[in-house]
Formats: sequence, structure tokens, C-alpha cells
Amino acid sequence: MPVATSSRASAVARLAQRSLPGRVHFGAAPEPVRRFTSGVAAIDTLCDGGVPRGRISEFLGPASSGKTSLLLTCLAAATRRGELAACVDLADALHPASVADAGADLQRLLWVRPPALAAALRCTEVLLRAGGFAVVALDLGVPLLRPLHVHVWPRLLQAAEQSHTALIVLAPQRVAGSFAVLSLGLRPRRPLWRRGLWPLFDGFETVAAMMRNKLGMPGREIVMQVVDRGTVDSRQSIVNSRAPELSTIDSRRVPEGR
Amino acid sequence: MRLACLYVPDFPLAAFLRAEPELCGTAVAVADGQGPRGKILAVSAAAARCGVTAGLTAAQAKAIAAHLVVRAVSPDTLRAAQAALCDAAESFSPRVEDAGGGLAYLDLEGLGALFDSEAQLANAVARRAAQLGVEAHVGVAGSKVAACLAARHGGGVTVIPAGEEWHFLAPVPIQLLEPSADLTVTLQRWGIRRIGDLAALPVRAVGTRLGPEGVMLVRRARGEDECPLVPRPAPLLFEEGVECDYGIDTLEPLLFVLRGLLERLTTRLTVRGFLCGDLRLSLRLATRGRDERTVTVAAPSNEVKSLLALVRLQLETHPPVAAIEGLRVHALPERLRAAQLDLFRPNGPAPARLAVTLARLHALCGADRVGVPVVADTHRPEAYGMAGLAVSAAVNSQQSIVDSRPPELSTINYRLSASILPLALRAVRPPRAVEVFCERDRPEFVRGEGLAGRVVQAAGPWRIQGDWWHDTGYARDYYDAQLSDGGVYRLYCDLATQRWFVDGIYD
Repeated sequence: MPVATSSRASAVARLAQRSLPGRVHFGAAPEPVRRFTSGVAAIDTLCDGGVPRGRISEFLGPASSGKTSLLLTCLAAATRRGELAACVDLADALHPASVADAGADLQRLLWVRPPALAAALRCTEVLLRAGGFAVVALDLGVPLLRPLHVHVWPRLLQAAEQSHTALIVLAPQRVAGSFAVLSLGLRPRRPLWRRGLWPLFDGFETVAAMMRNKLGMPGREIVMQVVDRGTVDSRQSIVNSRAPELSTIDSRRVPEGR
Repeated sequence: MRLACLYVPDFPLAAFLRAEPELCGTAVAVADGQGPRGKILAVSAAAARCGVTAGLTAAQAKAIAAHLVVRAVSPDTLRAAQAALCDAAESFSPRVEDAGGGLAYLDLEGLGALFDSEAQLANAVARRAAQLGVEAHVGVAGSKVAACLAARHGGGVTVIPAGEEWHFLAPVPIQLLEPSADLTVTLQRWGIRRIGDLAALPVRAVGTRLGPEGVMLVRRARGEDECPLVPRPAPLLFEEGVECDYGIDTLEPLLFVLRGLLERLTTRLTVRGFLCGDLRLSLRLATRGRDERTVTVAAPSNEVKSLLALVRLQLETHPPVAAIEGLRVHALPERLRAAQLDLFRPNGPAPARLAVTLARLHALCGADRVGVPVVADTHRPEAYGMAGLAVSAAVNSQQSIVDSRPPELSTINYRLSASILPLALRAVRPPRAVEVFCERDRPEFVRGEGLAGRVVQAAGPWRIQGDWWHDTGYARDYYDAQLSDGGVYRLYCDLATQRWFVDGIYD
């Protein structure tokens, strides 16, 4: 049936030309998804090799679940490889010292603090369309009061696909729906307190669960530790050295006696 | 010594047609002022065929040819055309004299090795001038006077071989030496109409009868220069301007005009081997004021599209307060720095594109809300900094990042930890005031906007003091508190006001 073959070929060519999200691959194998390492081996394993480029991924979780720590680790891994990364920080919550502690090269991390949600989405699209960024993170911060416009995520996905940039959305709940190929949910398991004369907050244990994975198998879980060894160790040494005289006050981070 | 002279006939008209090339071939006249009394300085060939000549007033010219386009000459346009002429010459040799009025001299010393003949060199100079929008005649001779006369009399490209200036200049009319009116009358009475006739006269006898002016005229007729070539001190001024016939009050027509200016600027920069850096816009407003603004070009480029996008964003963000009657664009020239890319590193974004992206982000968020994070050099916990993204450094810098970092931050610490992440803090900006209920000086319950819960466990206090020598001094007791909602928050009590705040969430 040469007529049917030619019309099918033209239809496939037209669909490929328009590059619609969720496009139909008719007879041809889809091109393999490129990934980049998140900087944590367990997360890479959970994601079947890393965070996919040119797709939307979601890091979800409530407060103190470790989603920000995971995002900063991803950004740090990208910048350490010499690539550019960007963070659209709607929540205005990025803490530069934490970014530096995660090992990121700050000179390669573009920090954008939009004033409103609409500007944040526009900035994200501008960054994705610019190309050349390894990863663009969109930190929504608080739960959205209402769903975004129906065209937002297809536009962002199309821009991410064309520029091969990974878009990571940080939110308490799922927001991108079926346009996200990967939704990684984090939930706090237990905080880690260092017992002793002076209790110290050491970090927390968190469970990372693959809630949605269009490119692999969902449903797997791992347990991770999110810890701040450096600060805690320095505090511990201060407590140990000054325990007998707990009334000392210093201008640096020194515990004061009760 | 061999010199080339670049001469633009009807310079005001040529400068005008360079600014508005779409009028080439039409009946155009350039006047020295606005209105019907403006005196016509130069006319195009089409206008001349209609009978319009220089010296008429604009009203008279319009009476002869109703379809004639009469425009007032703009100093900005003339300056830009003259600069373009000098740029064309300087793209061959740095020894260029700017004689003004559509004249420039170029020292040809040392260029013989690059071209087969002087005619070939002169043709190349003429082509380069045409590339910059100026149709120039080129004359080559052993002196400035002879080269100038060759360019003006010969037309196109004229090369006078060394030692043959006399033969070339002899039949040229004496008017080209531009003697004064009295002197012209005297010479006509004597029957001297050609330069050769004047050059044959004895200098001393002419000096006795006609004075110093006569002596200078005879020397010029003999091709002897009164002053040597004076190279201009390379001002590197890249500026283009245009005067509008009416006030432009919308963006699109303004960008249309700006596109032409930028195209001419970038062409000039290209032939000189420069890239376009920051742009300075000077807009003359209808309210008699001026709007001066600078468009920062983070990644120097000669791409008109990128530059126009930056200018558009600047004008959209801060539109002019009144209609624009004239505009001038000044480009800061930047040298192209070659950068060796790394074979094993991914390519970054194109610098020009990244610069446009940054400008778009600035327009959306404000310039102070886009940049790279900076760890502030202070003990104040909530302090942070933001610096501009260095485009060239971000894209081209290929230094080893891991090696330049202190050992404690090296990649190994993170790569080896298979399932351990460094703890991050989410900042709360500005710190949120909360109400804290304490028991025996320990926080027991926290209540505030979007936050309420019993304190399950807390660590602290950690007293932090600083800046006590300023008015902005602070003294706080910090706590890490886990609330019953599962979150771990960083709280502090301001010792001066005894108020409690949340300034971060461990996440």
C-alpha cells in the first residue's frame, strides 16, 4: 500500500517537526534519554542512571524531608563538571552558604529570584530556551493555591527537550502531572540528634521513593542520611572543651550555659 | 613617500544616503537647515536631471521638482560618515589623517608588500569604503595635494606614478586649487586657466605680485605639500547618529531606525577587528531634553540581532518619557579574546545568547535579583550576597574547578558518600516573627504565620553577637528546634527586643 505508507510517513514527519510533548514514535525507536549524575550514587541508582536531561523531574516533600539538600547536590554536581546551572527561586529560600557547603562552584550557578509565580515561570522558560544550561531548578516553595494554566508544563517541556536541559521542580506536592517523567518523593524518617550533655541536631534520615518514573520502574525506595557533619563536629568540640565552664559567652558559635 | 587620498564627492549627500540607503536613486537634496529657506548643499543625480542645483533654497527646489525629497544635514550623520571613511582607511594602515569634509589621507608606506600594485591597493581601499556605506574616490600620489587633486579630478581610482605628478596636474583646471575670488579674477586676466600654467610661473615673481597667497598656490600647483601628513590620534570613537523628521513615540519604528545604526556600527567595528561592547544611547527628546542610557553588553558581539534584543529590553523596561527626534549610538570597542575550549568539558551557552538571556531576566525580575550567589564575609547568619554573572568567565573559563577548591570541599567527599547528603538550610527571608512559649528558658511551643507546633526537641542556645560597633549590631540566641509537624527550624531570640524569629528550615 504505497499510498498508506507515504501518508503515514508524512504524518510522522509532521509530528516530528512539531515536536509535540508526548509525541508518537511510529515504528522508529525513540532517541535514548541522556542523563546526568545527581552526585549521590544511591539516587543515581534509583533514577536508573541519573536525572534525565531534556525532561521535567520533580523533587517532592514536606519541610525537613531533604529535597533542598538533594537539589543542591544536583546543582553542585553539574557545576563541578564545568556546566552552567540555574535556580529560579520563587520561594527566595536559597542559602548561599549551604550551596557552597554542597560543593557547588558558585560562579556557574545563576540565581534568579522572581517576584511572583508568573515571572518565575517566564524566567524558567527563558532559561530553558537559552540552551547551554545543564539543569534549571524551579523552587516553588509553598503549595500552589490553584493548578497552573494548562499550557505551562507543555511549554516548559518543549523548551527543555529542545535545549536538552534538565528541569527540576521542587515542590511539596506533585504539580507537573503527567509531564514529569520522574517524581521523587522524599519523606522524613527521623531526625538525628546527638545525645549527650548538650544535644546537637545532626541531620535527619529520609526516605526517597520513586513515585513516578516514565523511563523506568517506579515504586522503589531508599533510605538516605542528610547530615551536617562539619558544623555539628565543631559544635561538639566546643561543647566538649567548654563543658566545665558553661557560662562562657563568645562572639562565635559558642553554647551558652543554661 | 606615497599617499592615498579618499575623497567623497557631495559629502553631505553621501552621508545622508548612507544613513537612509533606501533613498538611493531617488531625487534627493540636502539642505543646510530645516524649512523652506534652507540652502541646498548637494543634490542627487536624479534631482540634477530635474534641474535642481546646489545654491537654491528648499522652496525653490520643491517648486522645480515637487517630488524632491529635501532633508536637513545632520551633524551626527556627517560625523558618522567621516568616521566611517577614516575607519576604512585605518583598516589598512594606522597612519591616517582625518581632513574632514569627506577627505582622508592614508600613508601607503609598507603596504607595497601586501598588494601587487598601487592600483590594486587603491581599489581595495575604495571597496572597503563602499562596504562601510561611503562611495569614495581614491587618488594615489607622492604628495597630499597631488593625491587630493587626483581623487577629485580623476574620479574612481587614480594612481599617479612617482615623479609624474607634473604631467598629471598640468591640464587640471585651476579652480580645483580653490583660490580666493580676487586671485581667481587676477589669474583669469593673466590667461592662466590650468594648473600647469600656474606651476610654470617663477615663485619669486608671483610672490612680488600676488603676495603669500600666490606663493602657496604656486607651490600647491607644483604638488608641494605645505604640511606633512598628520595621523589622527586614533580616537577609537564608534558612533552613529540620525535625526528624525518627526518624533518617534512607539518602540517598533525606533527599533527600525536603531537596527540601521547598529548594522553600520558593527560593520565599522568588524573592519577594525573589534567587537561591540557596551552601547551608549543618547536620545534627543521632543521636550528639548536628552535621555542618556547605557546598554550593558555582557558578551561583546557584532551580532546585530543580539544587540538589538538588548536595546529592545532596555527600552521596554525604561521607555523614554517623550517622542524621540534624534538618536545617537556610541559603541565601546572590545578586543576579541581567543579562548581555547576544553575537549573534555561540555559546551556552555553562546556568550551573546547568554547575555540576551540575562537581559531578559533583568527585565522580568530586576537587575538586583539575578546573579550568582555569594557567601557574605560576615558572621551574621542571614547575610548573603549576589554578584553579576561573568558571562565570559562562566562560558569560557576552563580552569580546573575541583583542584582550585580547598581540600575539604573536594569532590571526593561527596562522591564517596553513596547515600549521605550534606544538610541544607532553606532561608526564610525576611525572618518570620513567631510567638514562642518557654518553660524554664526552653522553647516549648511555637506559633506564627503558617507555623504552629509543640517543640519535640531542641538544641541550643548558640549565642551569636556581632557588629556591636555599629547601629546594626545584633545579639541573638539560636536554637535548632524540631516541631510536632516534623520540621526542624532554626529559631532565634533577639536579646535586645526579646522577640523570636524563624530564619531557616533545615531541608
